[in-house]
Amino acid sequence: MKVLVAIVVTIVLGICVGLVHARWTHTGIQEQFRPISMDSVAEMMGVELIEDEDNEDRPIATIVGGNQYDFGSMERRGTRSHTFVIRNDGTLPLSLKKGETTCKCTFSSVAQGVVAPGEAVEIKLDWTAKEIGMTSVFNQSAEIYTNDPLNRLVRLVVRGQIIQSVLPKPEVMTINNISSGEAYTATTGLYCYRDTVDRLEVVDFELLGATPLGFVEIRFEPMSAEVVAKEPHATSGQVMHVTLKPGMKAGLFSQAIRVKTNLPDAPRVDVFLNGEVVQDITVFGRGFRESDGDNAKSFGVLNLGSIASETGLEHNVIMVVKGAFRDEVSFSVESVSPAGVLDVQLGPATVVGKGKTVHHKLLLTVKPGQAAGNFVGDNRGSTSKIVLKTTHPTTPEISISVVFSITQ
Amino acid sequence: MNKNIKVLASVGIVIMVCLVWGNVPNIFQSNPEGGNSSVSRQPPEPVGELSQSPQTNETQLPIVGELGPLALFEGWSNPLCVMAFTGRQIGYVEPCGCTGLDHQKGGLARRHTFLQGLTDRGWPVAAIDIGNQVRRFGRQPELKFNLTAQLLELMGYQSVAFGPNDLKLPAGELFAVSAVDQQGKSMFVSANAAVLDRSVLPRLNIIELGGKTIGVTSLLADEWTAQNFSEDLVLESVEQGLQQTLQEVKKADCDINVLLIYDSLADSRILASKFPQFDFVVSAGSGGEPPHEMETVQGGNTRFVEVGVKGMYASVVGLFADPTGTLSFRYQRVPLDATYKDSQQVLSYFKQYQEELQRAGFSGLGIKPQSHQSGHTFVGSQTCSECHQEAYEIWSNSAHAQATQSLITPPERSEITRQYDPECLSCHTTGWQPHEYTPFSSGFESMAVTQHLAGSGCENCHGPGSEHVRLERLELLDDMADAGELLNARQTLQLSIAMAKEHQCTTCHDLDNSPDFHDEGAFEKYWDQIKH
Repeated sequence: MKVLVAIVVTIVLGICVGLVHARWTHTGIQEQFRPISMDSVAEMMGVELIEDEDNEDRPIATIVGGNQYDFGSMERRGTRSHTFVIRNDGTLPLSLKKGETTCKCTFSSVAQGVVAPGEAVEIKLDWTAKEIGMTSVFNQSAEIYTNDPLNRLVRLVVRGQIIQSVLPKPEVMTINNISSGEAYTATTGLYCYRDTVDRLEVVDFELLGATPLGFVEIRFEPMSAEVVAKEPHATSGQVMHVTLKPGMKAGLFSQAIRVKTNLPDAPRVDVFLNGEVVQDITVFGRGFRESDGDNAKSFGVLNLGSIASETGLEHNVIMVVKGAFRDEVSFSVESVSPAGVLDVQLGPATVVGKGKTVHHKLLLTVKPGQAAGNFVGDNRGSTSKIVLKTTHPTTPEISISVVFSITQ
Repeated sequence: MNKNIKVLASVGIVIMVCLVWGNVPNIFQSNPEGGNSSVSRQPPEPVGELSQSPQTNETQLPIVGELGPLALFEGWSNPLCVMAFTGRQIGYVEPCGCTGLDHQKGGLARRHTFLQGLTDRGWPVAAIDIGNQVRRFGRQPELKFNLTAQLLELMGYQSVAFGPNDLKLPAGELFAVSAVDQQGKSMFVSANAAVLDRSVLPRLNIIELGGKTIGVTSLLADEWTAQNFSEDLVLESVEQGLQQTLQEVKKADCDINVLLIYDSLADSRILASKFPQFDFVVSAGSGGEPPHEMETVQGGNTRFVEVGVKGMYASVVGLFADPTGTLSFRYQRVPLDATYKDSQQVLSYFKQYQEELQRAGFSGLGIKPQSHQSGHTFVGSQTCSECHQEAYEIWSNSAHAQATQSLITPPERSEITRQYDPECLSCHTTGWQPHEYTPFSSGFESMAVTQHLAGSGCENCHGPGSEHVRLERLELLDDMADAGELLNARQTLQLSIAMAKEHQCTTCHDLDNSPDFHDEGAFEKYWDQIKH
């Protein structure tokens, strides 16, 4: 008898200990994050969720015709919609609640609430193909929480390919870090996806904006059949070459170009060109920032951070020379201040980029064992400064401020 | 002896019951996958195990969600480490909050808090980003890229890839943040893109975490590298880049290999199945939010992860080891919503960023005002009130009138003012092009210069009113105004409700900045507030 009592007591005790242990371990008592738990979903939906998926007496969310719909090809800036139907094939009411969505998702008032067994609701997904992203393929979805224990989350997906009658690829041409002294050409393809014309032709083009960019030359040539064949659904095409002639001022530029084609009702085809013209000599370095341009003599600031005296530092900076004088330009160290802290050595020149660019390395060294000091440019001490002389006709000098501190 | 046996039996029963109750599923509840956290339950089994037979291949999204909503990291007991994948920020360093931050996901201030939360749990965290921090070209995106790079470093990111938009930025800016340091280390990594010199950017980053090594590399699709945005970039094809990198992967012999691919989903899957050396392939090709589950790449063990768009989610993979040392993993996507409080540290960087914008000014940011296509200029809502008193009254009592003021004294994140930020001004003032982030030549400049154009005024919807005002004033002075011209100018500024609903309002009230505006019946509700 005593044994039986002991067994019963230990079972009860065991259940209590086990319950506490399990709750502590697995139920989010230690949870620091917002629980997206069944409880929170139940609260959000305002219904009690059925947890027993083996229970036959439950709501069943059936997506009539599947959860995905392919719009196929879709004209850019056009809107398409698809209506999904969710039917309750179960025996208990099915509750639905809109979750995350990346497209316009129109729920009927019923679809936000409860669907009786045997009944169905419609959910309409609209998608406007405004922008062509990384590829012309899009894939958008809407999620719906349900109280069907086997389908707590229903994901409705619409997909397709955005096309327009004529599409530039790439739409934006970027030509960056170019020298003002040389011509540069960027190329894009204009693809036609209609078979109503034998071949795409460019009738006219215009540079948009109040002050169109000068120094631009544009020409077109028919696209080869091989190139056209690589683009899905394309029927013909033109290659557009945009050449920036020498003489552009240093700075950012952007230009929209509107192209008119032989397609009678084709929408506008805008191609964008942007980039930056740089001076013939630019400085590249980890931690280097160009000056804003208001101080023509200073090229910028190089931030070396905190340097341990024990280890010292070696840091490379590269002077990149472009333009007509690239092969003749040479550098020499004019001054380094304060003397004896920072050592500067010029390395050999290297021709890169199909001969259009020359790199000159500059090795900065803070030797180990230097005394502690601040060169940070505030009240703790002035910055270090490197002045280089160049043989470039319009840039005779380069001045780089160097910010660092040496710690013991 | 007999008594000892009874005691031992009792103790044995207690232990047995404890074990049974605490660790065997489906005794008191029968929902092994759901996230019910109110009753005791067995944590879900790992969703995958490395180096085992592949799961069912699944290249399409599941018909229905298999997991349903789960408590975050439920059952993630003592992971060896976690990898948090993010990316495709495309300029959204913070949600704009125009209609309340609670409605929007993403932002670096929340991301920092989220990652900090993982670290606070004692989990070793590898934060990895697939890149494309910016969307546009110009000085403001440059500043934003620098801001993001600083913040990723602050958050302890260990691998960051380049997206195509990043590579359109000036090469010097990219070099300044991505070139290797004295130890030959860089947070950035790419198998086929570098700035200026291939040797200054690693092809493979090796992360040591939780006693394991994780090799991370990244690839940019040929579609992008072929464009060669700058001669100062060293770009290789996917094939060339991988050829070199795979040798490094083999040599490094990491426990886990991760490949970040900036390509479409379909092409990323093809690459993933072609290179089974990688345990995880992370693709930038997701359309919207990442799915709730990872898929297994067809014909292999590689797991396929998506990151979604606009930095709204973190896709988190936890690595676990059983007592035999076999590695397994769990996965969860985490929406970075208002649950995560703003990191004050990140907000201080945002403040500095706004100050930089102020210092740069429009000219410093390369912003050049454009003429309006009508050839007319903006006059300000006060001028409209000379005749349209009732409409003006309604406008001046609406949120539209307070649009600029809400940048100066924001209702949320009020320590950061944004009245110098072109991306905010474009919808919060009068006379800008909302999606170009550029003003018209007679549009708002500043509160000091163009206070009459503060707020989202009448002319943002109706068009610049200078010609209309000129002709109406002639009429008022009994001067000779051409009746045809007068009527034409009036008609030009008329806007039908249908046009407003379909086109005009959504240029600012878009899905990103004003998601509520796109709910069923929302237009009517909003229109009711400004009906005139």
